[in-house]
This record gives sequence, structure tokens and C-alpha cells, in this order.
Amino acid sequence: MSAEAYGLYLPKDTIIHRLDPRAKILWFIVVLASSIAFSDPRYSIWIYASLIIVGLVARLTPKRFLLVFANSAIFIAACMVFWPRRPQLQVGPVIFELPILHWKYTEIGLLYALGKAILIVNPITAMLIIFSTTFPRDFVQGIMRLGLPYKAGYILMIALRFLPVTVRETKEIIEAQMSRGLEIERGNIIKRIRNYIPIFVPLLVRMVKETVQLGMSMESRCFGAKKQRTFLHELRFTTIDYIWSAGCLLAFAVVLFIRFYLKMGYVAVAW
Amino acid sequence: MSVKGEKAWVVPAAIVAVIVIAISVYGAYTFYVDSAAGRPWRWGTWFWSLGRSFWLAVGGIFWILGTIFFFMELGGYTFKGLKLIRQRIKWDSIDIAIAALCAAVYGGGLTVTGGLTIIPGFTWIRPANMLSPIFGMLFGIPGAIGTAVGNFIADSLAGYLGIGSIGGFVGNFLLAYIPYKFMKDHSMRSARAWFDYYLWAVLIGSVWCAIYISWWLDVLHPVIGLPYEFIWGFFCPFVVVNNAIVTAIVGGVLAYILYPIVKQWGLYWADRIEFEE
Repeated sequence: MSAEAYGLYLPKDTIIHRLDPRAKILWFIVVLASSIAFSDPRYSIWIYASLIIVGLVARLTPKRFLLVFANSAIFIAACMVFWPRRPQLQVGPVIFELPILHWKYTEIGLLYALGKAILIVNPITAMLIIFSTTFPRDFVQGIMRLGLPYKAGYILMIALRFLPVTVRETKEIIEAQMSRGLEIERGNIIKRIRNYIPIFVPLLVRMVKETVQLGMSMESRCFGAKKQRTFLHELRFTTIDYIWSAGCLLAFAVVLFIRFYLKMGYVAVAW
Repeated sequence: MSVKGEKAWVVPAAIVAVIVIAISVYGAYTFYVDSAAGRPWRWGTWFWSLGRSFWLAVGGIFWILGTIFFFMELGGYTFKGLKLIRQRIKWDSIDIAIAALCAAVYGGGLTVTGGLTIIPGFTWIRPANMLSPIFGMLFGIPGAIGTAVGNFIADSLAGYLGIGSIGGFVGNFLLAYIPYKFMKDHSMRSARAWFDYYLWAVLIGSVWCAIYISWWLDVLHPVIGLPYEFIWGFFCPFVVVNNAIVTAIVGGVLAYILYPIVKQWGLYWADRIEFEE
């Protein structure tokens, strides 16, 4: 089974997929910085909209969009419960009040809460799109070219490579133990946690053996013998990457202009 | 240790084990009861009642110490007693393989075992969390790095990867690192080892990890945006209970079973690391 089967990567041929991972990381930084700059959700929602457009261009599946919206809903709900009830945000006319709990929501409270929710949602959505459109090996090579030490990158690369193996083995062990009568979801909470012992023991014993085998095979290929590393598939920063990066920086310049020159896009709260 | 000395640890080990298991089970129980009754979780309320200033101060100490430990170990230094010494981790193919496979097993385990549902429609306890102290105790720094990378992978698979994940990275490193560094005997074949396990791996490790991540989320609030009440009144106690309950109930047993296997295959950290006094 391929490495991407259990990861987020969706192999497709789109312009987003073809972008260099470094260009996508720059895009992530711009999304994050722009979301921080705009605390007013009436502005930051446009960043969210741009992410959805990028997702559509990348031809993400409906299931992946569902994950995006589900994550967004969780954070929006958490922010809407906690933020508007802070005393500093209880100023101005009350827009509505929750019937049983008697929580009051003012306009500034709602705006601030939504702004914070979008601030959380935008970067994780951008990262979700990056992981959905970047082959794990290329992602690791991208961050290694940005300065991550080779061995650290290699740990991440092997971990991603072995992830489907581990997932498959865990599932096999669970099925094997269940066929012997193990009932994972049965009993009180202590019993249910203890039920995982017959799953994790064989999994970890296999892991120990695989570690030795992997170590020996790396050793036999002279891992770490040379400082200078080469890659089978070298990443290249092409014209489209430069255009994309320039577009990101231009968009960020516009955000800074709106926020700091026009002094718009923020919710003023006296803490 | 002499037989008499060993016996002296039996009672403290039993007491600390009972207290820690009782606290973590009580935390899970109150979460279940309060959620079912539709009222705020009493642990969350109690945590939040201590105030944000308190948590910022306490969390700051945990965070600074945790970050120092993290970078110190990565930089090749450690402490023995109160002395700072240099350690030589080879980071050869075996260490890389240990870190990578710990990450794959931890990340994959978190994803596959998902969560034990105690309230229908609300997944909760992550059983794979029990692996983190074991990886630290048995494999040392490579195991702790593997745990951190595994959490990063699990975050990315869940679609939650963001700036907050940096706190999760170091927090999970500490969850594995604390038992590795502070426990005297990782074989789990003495009463002292069990005492240390419940104290360092379950109690202090869980609390440290939760406070580390929460403090990171709090101070980076302008960048991350989570409400303070959510961070200290829900997330922090939730992570403490989640980590403590699974490590308290089965983590020690798993370490007991796996120690001789890891030792036999030559992967136990003490057999692979060198210290320069």
C-alpha cells in the first residue's frame, strides 16, 4: 500500500499540486500573517474564501472539504462560547441572549469571537491544503532545503513511509485479537484501556524488530557516510513558483496597506 | 539496592499509584458525569478559578524549563545530578530508525486507535498516548524525538496542524523525556521503579506536557486565537486527564513487558549513549 493511502495527500495533476513545497510554505506564512493582521472577520473571511478557492483549484474531494468545514465549525463553536462572555466584550447593545444559560452576545463580542475563530481556522486550512497537495517526500525535501537538518528530515520521511505499514499492522493485530475474543469497547473505562495491552505489545515487538532491520539496511547502504546529500527527485523552483510567490507577497502588501495605512480590518477592544 | 531498601519503596509506590490512578479516573468520571448533565466540567472550573495570572506564572516556569531541556538535549548536553555534562548520541542508522519508527507507531497508533468513546458522539481518550513515556524510558532521546514527530504526524492527519502544533511537538517530547531523565530504573522490576514511574511519567509528565502546550497557546493568543477560558478551563485539565489515565493504567505494564525485549535487541538507550564527564 502506498504511503499516501493513509496520509492526507491526494494525487492529482493541478497547478497547486505542481507548485514547489517552498512556494506553498510561503503561502502558508502569508495566510497566517494576514489572518493575524485582520482581527475583523468581515475582512479575514476573504482570506478563508481564498483558501476555499485554492482548495477548489486543487480539486480537493468533498470528503476533504467536509474535514475543513468540520474543523472550522469546532473552532467557531469554541470561540462563540468563550470569547463573547468576557466582560471587556460585553459593551454595547445586546444582539441576542441564549435562553437557558442567559449568555449575552453584543455586536463587538460576536465580531471579536468570529475574528478569533477565523484566525484559528485559516492557517490550519492552509496547512491541510498543503498536505493534501504535496507528496510527503517532496514536502520533507522542501523543508530540508529551507534549513531542516538532513537527519531530522530523514526521520520524518521514514516515519511517513512507515505510517501505512504501522496502521495496517495495528489493524491486523486488533482484528486478530478480536477474533480471539478481545472486546475493545466493552467494560468500564479502566477495562477498556487495559484492553489495549494485547494490541500494543505485539505492535511494539514488531516495531523493535523492524527498527533493527531498518537500521541494518540503512547501514549497508552507508547511511550518513557523506555530508552532501542528493535526491532522486530534485525539487526545482520554476517560473510558476516565482509567479505564485510574487502573488502571495503582493497580496500581503495589500493586506498591510489596508490594515496599517487605511487603518481598517480590526476590532478595537480595550483590554 | 538492598532487599531492605527495596522493601522501603513498596508502600510509597503503592500509595502514589493508588493516588494517581484515583485522580485520573476521578477526572474522567467527573468529565463524563458533568458532560452528561450538561454543566461545565468541575475540573475545568477549578483550573480556571485559579486565574490566568496564576497559570501564566506557573506555566512560564514549566515552559522555560521544558524548552531549556529540549534544546539542551538536542544540542548534545544533559545533566547528571546538578552537573551539566556532554552526551554523545550517535544519530547513526539505528538511532534514526528508532526515532522514525517511534514516530510512525505513535502517529499511526493515535490515528488508528482514535479515541475511546465514553460519551456517544464524543471521542475522547487517546489510548496511544500510553506509548510516549515508554518510548522515552526505553529509547531515550531518539524515542522522545519520535514521540514529538509522531504527534506532529497525528496533528497533520487530523487536519489540525498549525502554530499550536509547535507547542504540541515539544510538549510530547517532554512527555517521553521526563520519565527517561528522572526515573532511576527503567526496568520496572523494583518498587522504586514503580514509584518513580507514577510520580514522573504519569503525574509530573502529564501535568508538564499539558501546561507546556497550554502556556504556548495562551501566550501565542494573538497568533493562534484560542479563548483563555478554553485553554485553561478545558484544554489543560483535559490533556492532563487524557495522558494520566492511559499511562497510569497500562503504561507501566507495557514497559515491564517490553524492557527485556528492547534490552536484548541492544536498543536500550543506556547501551547506546556515551557521556563525557
